Amino acid sequence: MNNIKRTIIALLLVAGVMLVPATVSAQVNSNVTQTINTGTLTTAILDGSRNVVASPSAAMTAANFSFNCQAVTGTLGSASQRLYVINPSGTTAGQTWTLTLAATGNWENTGATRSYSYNDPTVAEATAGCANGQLTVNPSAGTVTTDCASTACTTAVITKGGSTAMSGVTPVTILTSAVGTTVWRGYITNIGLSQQIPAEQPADSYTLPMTLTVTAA
Amino acid sequence: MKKIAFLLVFMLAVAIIPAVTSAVEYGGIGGRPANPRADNPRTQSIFVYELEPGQEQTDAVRVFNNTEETRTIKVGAVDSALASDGAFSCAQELEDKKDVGSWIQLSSASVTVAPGKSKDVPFTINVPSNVSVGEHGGCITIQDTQSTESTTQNGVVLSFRSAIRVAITIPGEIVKDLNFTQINTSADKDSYIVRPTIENKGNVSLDTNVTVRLISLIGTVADTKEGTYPILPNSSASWSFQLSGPFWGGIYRAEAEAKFDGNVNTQLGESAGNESSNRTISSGYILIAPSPIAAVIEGFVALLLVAAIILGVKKRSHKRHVKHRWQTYVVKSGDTVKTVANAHNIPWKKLASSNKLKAPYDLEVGKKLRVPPSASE
Repeated sequence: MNNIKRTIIALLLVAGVMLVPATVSAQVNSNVTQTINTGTLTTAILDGSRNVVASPSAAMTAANFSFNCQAVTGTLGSASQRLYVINPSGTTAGQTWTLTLAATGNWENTGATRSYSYNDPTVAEATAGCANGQLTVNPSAGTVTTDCASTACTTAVITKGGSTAMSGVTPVTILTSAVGTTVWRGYITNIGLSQQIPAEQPADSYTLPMTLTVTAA
Repeated sequence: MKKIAFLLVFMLAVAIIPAVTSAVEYGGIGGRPANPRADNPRTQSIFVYELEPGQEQTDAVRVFNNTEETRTIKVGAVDSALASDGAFSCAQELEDKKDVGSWIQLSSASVTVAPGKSKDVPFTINVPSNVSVGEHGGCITIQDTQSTESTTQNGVVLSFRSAIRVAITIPGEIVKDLNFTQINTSADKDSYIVRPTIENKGNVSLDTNVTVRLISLIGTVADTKEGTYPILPNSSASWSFQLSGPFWGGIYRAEAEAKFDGNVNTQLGESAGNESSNRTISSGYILIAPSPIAAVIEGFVALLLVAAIILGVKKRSHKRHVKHRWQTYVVKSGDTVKTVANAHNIPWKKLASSNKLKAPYDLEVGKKLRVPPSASE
């Protein structure tokens, strides 16, 4: 019983502390100063309620072992995993940003004992990417949606990158905003992914580390 | 008593939960220049310097934590990277630094920032003495050490970072020149994609206003899109502008226009809106399909047109037949249109229309009519 009483007293104290500032400020008879802090340009994968998705994924279709080169496909961004760009910085002029995607390693299994490439450097081959593996990213197949109220926040200031077979370490452009875009919040879904897997790649589960970079440019 | 305790706990939980779920409502982890210049609006979002070879420059990046928790934020410097389509991007931390990324020395590799607060991270730029004239690019990257990373065992594992461009111009013989190299068009559902490509042949980046238009044969503009984009030195850039297809369809060409500041004495961001030079490119004519509703209307009109043409041809052919194949009949006393028509085995209406007779179709004796030849002739 005593424990319950102590708990209630502690909770009432916490609630009291939370409420006191509001009570005090209500009694101040002076000009009220309201500061709106500027936000920062950022990218994240959020769900339909704009909560951070704890473990975002971009799974590829399953493939069976094959003696031939084969392609698997996937999608980056969905209704429940929206690839957001949030630019609340509100600078007066000159702001532009790009959202790019780059791989930081090869497709590897757990333990990195098996791997294949995302950026096949082989030039002459019957089917591009079949010698070592190549990933093609297609943002132009995606859908851009704005998630903000102002008239300046429109898809008209955004262009999608074209379909790109990854080459070297060159990042793939997903979205570009025009200079002068001050406040923008929106997302892209259904970015197409297509990976050529080399012939006779051993059966295993493979992952590809990639970095999404939003750059104030 | 227990119920009251639960109620209080529930109320506190409700008060706390919304704050957690709106963590990225106003931007998560990011940064911007700590000391923007009043005379250059671009310096509010990127670092812009003009530095001599061998010169040292100090500045700072302001790192923001707009989440609800204290975060340790990684700060680094890397070279710039040209992304596909020519967009500005940043190299990965693992890549060798050969340009601006190697010139920047940050005072700290990470910084711990309280929720809703910011901290300045000073840095020094040491420009090498043997550097080439023109613009050099780099990035200051900002990454949450607790950033969300997918834990999938099969597929793409994502991590996220923000970056700020660093543009350093080494003075000397600055060249500002660009031109279109191509313009492509393609249909995309009910819209049209116009994709111009521009090559910046100069040694500094150019904020370029690009406008694309769909123009009809008679010069009317069906749709226009525009934007100003940085085009990096010695590189090509392209953009996919999505234009609305004209409602009625038709024959159109795509035109792109680029405007930029050709003044070699102005720095990046100093001449916003002062676009003194321009270039244009135009595609060949393309046939654009009408919208579905317009297609139905156009189909109906086309059907009417075809029907009218067929009727016209038939009428003309009949007229010619009457003129050349029929014979003259002189109206006698007691003849009516019906008796003459019956005598020549044709409907009286056809006889009337062939001879342009009007109601009440009275025939004067001696009037000459064209009638079909009798079977015996």
